[in-house]
Amino acid sequence: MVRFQVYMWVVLLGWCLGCAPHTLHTQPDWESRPESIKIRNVPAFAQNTHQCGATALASMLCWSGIQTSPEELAPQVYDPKRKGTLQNSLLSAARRQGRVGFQIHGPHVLQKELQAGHPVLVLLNQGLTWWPVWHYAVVCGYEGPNQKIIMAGGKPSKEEISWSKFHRMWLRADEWGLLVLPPDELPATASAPEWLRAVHGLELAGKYEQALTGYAAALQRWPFELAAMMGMANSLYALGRLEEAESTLRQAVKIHPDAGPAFNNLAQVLLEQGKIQAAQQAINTALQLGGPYTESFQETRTAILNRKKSGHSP
Amino acid sequence: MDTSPKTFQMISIVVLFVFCSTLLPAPALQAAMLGTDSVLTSETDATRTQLQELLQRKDVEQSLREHGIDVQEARARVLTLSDAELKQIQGRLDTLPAGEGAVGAIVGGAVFIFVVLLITDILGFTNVFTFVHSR
Repeated sequence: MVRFQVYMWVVLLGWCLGCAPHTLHTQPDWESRPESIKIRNVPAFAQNTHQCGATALASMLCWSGIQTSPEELAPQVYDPKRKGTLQNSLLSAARRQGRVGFQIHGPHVLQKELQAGHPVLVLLNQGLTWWPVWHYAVVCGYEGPNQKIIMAGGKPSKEEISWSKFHRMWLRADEWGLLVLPPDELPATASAPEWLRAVHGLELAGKYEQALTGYAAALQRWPFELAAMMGMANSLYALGRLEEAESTLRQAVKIHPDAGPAFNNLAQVLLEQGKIQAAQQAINTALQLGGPYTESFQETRTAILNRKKSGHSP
Repeated sequence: MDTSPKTFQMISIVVLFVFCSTLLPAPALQAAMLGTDSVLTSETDATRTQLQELLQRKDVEQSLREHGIDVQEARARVLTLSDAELKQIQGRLDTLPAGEGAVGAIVGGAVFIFVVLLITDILGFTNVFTFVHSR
């Protein structure tokens, strides 16, 4: 009977611990990279209750060169009902400050970005799988020899924690991390579509100058990327720089002669400059190519034809 | 002035229409210009109509407002997220992780949870309490 009771207690305890994640072995390759990294200029702010999102984001933004504070950011990230901050609010707030929010996953990417000098905002579950205690923190380095992670802000008394402990908490939060970067600073691990999606967020926030910088940086690394050229042209268009938008799109369709949306946008930019003939040519090519945006192409053509009827006058 | 029920109804409809149209988020580009995401999204996402996307936007915006976020702020948050990102959070605002730090979670919990977390903290499985120093 006593043995049975002991057995039950063990089972209960195991259940409580959420059967501690079994993937503790996935960790950075400490052996081959025993060095330590500590990123400077990541300020730590005192944290108010429920505001770890704003606090962590403020550290990231200050590092990226934007002077701000948790108090200033709180209204942009806080969710009163949840008494906390959702991941997407951090992403959106970063964009609203003209910075690229770039989401990452996993220890290997974390290590690579730290080596590239980029602090990483991480979501941690400090509690248990079935009783989560969500917390945002900023990782600003690691000590290879001791396998320790260095945190900025949050709880100053626990600035360094062991990798295994950190990883347990991170694993329960799906190993999610966020980079907050100036638009000309590419992540070490980004693929072209990932970076371009992130830069597109700046367009959504109406930060066209910064988006332009982000797309230009993309073209430096991936010179033939269609989405980078499209994004660049769209940002130029939004800023009223039609001629530059035109030349960017001309180059895009030269390299990607099958890109219907680029032909459509070229037609629109030409139309707005009063170059009706060329606009018509471009939209016809788009219509020949077809695709999921055919309806939009037809709308553009109608606009061009209407302008033509009204006698070329703008 | 003629204030027959019919006229009143007409005026109401017009006012309602104007009011609703101001609630729609202003598109960043002209309708004729295709967004950058047109060459970034997959074919299946491209087939989603503008109306579907608009409704999704309104839905998330509404949920944010129900969470106590004011109109302007809710709209600003929704506008700065892409359609794919909104799709991820639509209908999940109550269940997605919301980082808040330890204090809030403890207040909501019972003594039982406190004790469990204290034990797991000591064992080094969790990291809730600052006064617990485990390995």
